[in-house]
Amino acid sequence: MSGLISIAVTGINAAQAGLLTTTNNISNLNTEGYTRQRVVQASNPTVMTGAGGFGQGAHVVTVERMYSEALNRQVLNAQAKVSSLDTYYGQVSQIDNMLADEKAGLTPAIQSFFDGIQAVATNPSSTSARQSMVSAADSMVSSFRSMYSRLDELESGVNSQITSVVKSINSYTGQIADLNQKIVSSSSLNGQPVNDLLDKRDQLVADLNKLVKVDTSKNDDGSYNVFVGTGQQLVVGSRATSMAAVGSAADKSRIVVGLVGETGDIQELPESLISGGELGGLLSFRREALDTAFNQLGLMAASVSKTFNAQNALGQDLLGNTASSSSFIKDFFTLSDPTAVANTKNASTSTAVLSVTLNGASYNGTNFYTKLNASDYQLSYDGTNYALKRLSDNTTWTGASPAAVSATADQGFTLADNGGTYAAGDRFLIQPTRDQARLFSVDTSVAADPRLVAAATPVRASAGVANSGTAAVSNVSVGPNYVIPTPVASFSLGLTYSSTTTPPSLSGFPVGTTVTVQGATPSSFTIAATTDPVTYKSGAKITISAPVASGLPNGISLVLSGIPNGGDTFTIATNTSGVEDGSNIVRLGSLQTQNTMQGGNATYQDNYASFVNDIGNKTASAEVSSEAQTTMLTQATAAKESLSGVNRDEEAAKLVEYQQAYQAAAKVLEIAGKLFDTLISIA
Amino acid sequence: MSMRISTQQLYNGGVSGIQRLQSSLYTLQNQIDTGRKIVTPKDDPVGSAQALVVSQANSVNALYLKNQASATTKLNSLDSILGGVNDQLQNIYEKAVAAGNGSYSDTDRAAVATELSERLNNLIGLANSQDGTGRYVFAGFQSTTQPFSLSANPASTTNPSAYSLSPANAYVNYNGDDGAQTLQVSASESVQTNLPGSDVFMRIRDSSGNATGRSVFDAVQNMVEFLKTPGASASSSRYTTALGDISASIATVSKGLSTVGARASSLESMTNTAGDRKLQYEEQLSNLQDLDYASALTAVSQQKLQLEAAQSTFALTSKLSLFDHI
Repeated sequence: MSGLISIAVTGINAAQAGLLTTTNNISNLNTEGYTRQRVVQASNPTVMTGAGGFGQGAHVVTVERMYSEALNRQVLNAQAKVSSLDTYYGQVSQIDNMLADEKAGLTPAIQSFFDGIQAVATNPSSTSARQSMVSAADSMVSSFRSMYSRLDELESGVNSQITSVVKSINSYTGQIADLNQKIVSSSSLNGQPVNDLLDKRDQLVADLNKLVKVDTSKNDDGSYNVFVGTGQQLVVGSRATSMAAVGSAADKSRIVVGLVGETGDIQELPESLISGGELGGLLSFRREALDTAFNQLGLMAASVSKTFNAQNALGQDLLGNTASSSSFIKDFFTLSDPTAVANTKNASTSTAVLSVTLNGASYNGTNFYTKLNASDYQLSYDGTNYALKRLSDNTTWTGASPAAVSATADQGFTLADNGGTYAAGDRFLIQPTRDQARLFSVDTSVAADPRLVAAATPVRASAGVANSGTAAVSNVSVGPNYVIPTPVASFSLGLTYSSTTTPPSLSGFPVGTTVTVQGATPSSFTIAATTDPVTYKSGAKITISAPVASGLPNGISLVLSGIPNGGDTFTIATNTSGVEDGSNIVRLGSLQTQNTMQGGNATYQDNYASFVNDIGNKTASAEVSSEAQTTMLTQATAAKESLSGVNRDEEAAKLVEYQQAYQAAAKVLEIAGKLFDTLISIA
Repeated sequence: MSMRISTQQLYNGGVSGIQRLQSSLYTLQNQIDTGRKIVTPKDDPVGSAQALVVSQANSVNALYLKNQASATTKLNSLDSILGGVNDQLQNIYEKAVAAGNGSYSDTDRAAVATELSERLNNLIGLANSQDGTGRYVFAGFQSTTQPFSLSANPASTTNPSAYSLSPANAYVNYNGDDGAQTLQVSASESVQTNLPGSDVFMRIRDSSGNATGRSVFDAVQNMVEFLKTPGASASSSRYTTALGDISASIATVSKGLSTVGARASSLESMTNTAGDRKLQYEEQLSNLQDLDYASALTAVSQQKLQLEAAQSTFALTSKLSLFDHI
């Protein structure tokens, strides 16, 4: 009898446990991170009698968490990628949107600048045309600046997000370490798992993993170790290591992530180690898209201004000033040279002062171009040699001095040693283009007086009025480093044609110059006497050159075409009062369609288009990958939920099941009572 | 075996499905609002880069069209001035031929000389023509310098060498230069929009192209001086040379006129080509960027249908609960 009652009670207890667990499941239907629990029930040991073994009811073994580490890991992996890609996409799409704006983009600004140039070409002597060109140049500069400041906003956004993400990471790792301790101590108390603490800890790991991809390993005592990157410890048992957001050693203005050591020293983590999660997304956005955008924008600004300045320097302004005059403005655009940033880890004995200068545009005989590209560089010193590394592709050049290595590299900038001594291991960060979009502007003198735009060519040429032949002069121009002998104002060079020499020739070139006549094979003539003949070739470009230091005419070219008669004369002279000469502004206008960038291989617009294409690709691929990863995440979550999630209907069914079990066990008690009554009545 | 589904999943799945459909409807709406299939570069990175290149080509072409129009305006005004010069010279030539008639008395010739002298001043005036902004048209680069001025010591009847005026001993000096004002009118061509005064007035060539060594003004002034000489004879070499020079002046100016005409007509054909190109570029841009409204609207109605289906399915399934039955 008593056996009957006690067995029934075990049934009631088990059913009650089932009801409690089901109720708990139902109550936590909307609890984030909650794992479905179920009662594990087992039968009590059988009591053996002579009549056989009698079961002694049931007992609850444990309340089990329906949890799979493998399924959970799948979700974590997918989640880290999705968080990273979503963050990356959210950031890069802002650049994408900025470039999409047709009216605020660079293209219309550059175009209206060149429209202004053509207006000057149409009316070189008109100050109002010049004024509108200078205004257009000013608004082009503003467009560059406003794009720069939008990128700058993005950058400071990234910096502050890194800082706040790191703060949250530290909060999570701290909580995980705490929970580790609680889990270890509570489970050692009664040997049963503390399901809600385990859920809480898993949820914290999941939240942490949204910020940065982490790996976990489980210790024998039930605590978790949490790692980041390639095994850098964030949590070991009950101890958490703090992360810190600090200025990078290479560039203090760049916020990077480090681990705080026991002594409080901060060990910078290489960016490549941090992948996944919001932090991974932010860092890869900054590295792959934002840095490129800054550099591309700066590259455009530097190339437009350097090439424009170089051609402008070969002109003559409306007041008649040329390169040799102190009032002449060679540089239409002013630029500031970038600074070299010394690594904060450089030896304390290092006192080196390194300066960076952007080179003037190079000339290929047709047009000016720059050799700059959109990369950052690092200069390092090993105690003997200097190495310059292009960070976009790690191409490295070495040399005996900073100047020598920059000359060998020929990347469009020159390094110079401004005193001090270098220590072995010193490193410097060089960003030739990064800030150029902010740093360039229209020269203030030109802005105030647009007559200073050098629209004309410093020299002109004429055929003698008394010439009886038909030869005419055209395409008078000057090249880089051209020299007009002093006094410039009265420079005049007379050439005379002779038909009696074989072949017919020109003479009158200054002694000491070299005259080159262009052709399939250019012919060169060294002038030892003014009577020295230079072969006449109709339509060929004639260039007079001499060493710059000699003060003789240098870099002056013209074309003679037609048939001269013996004795015909031609004069090359200073272009005094040549106010209607727009030949240099026409050359400035041609820069728009010439290969002025990437070492003379791309136009401004080609370069800009490939930049837009690059950002578009990055945004599109982030979007596509994010969609794909989200699908993976959905699948992984479905698999996990399939095991761990609470289903309301299932719990309803369970409720009915345990209720009936309870009722059945209770019925046994009733029957036992009745049996007892029966026995009493007999007695 | 069917998969076990958690209740949360049922909700989340339904909601995210609806959100996905709403997001793609939003994208479509953006495209329809802007009329462009490329709203931002990510929608078609290659297409947007191409569109940038084509739109620059289009802008540059528009610049060429503008330059062509400016050049045409300049050449037209040059043409009308040269027309005036030509008229004056024709008139001078006719008067000079008539004055060669033996029946003309000294007085008659002196009268013609006075008229020709007047016309010579007109010619000098035309040669010093200024444009709307006061720039001298025939001065080459030095448009603010008056190109033609009377020589300080012009030859005259009192000067024995008067009858052979030459550059070294000219009636009118040229203070300009040979500067060619040019405008870029196509990718490969530039057009000269002026004629230097030296070419038009100073270096006259006869109809066979031989230089005479005298200017238009010298030619007329020589004729004036001849007509002023009492008892001048039409058979004298002074008369025939001067008349020949005037005829050569006409030939030179005509050559200038035909040069201007040729430039203007080549500009016209360039303008036609550039106009065609403009249409091509615009079509290319439209193909790259513009939205196909028909297919966009079809997509909208398809997605609307899907969204409505998703919404009603969600509403239905989320209402089902076993608790309603126990």
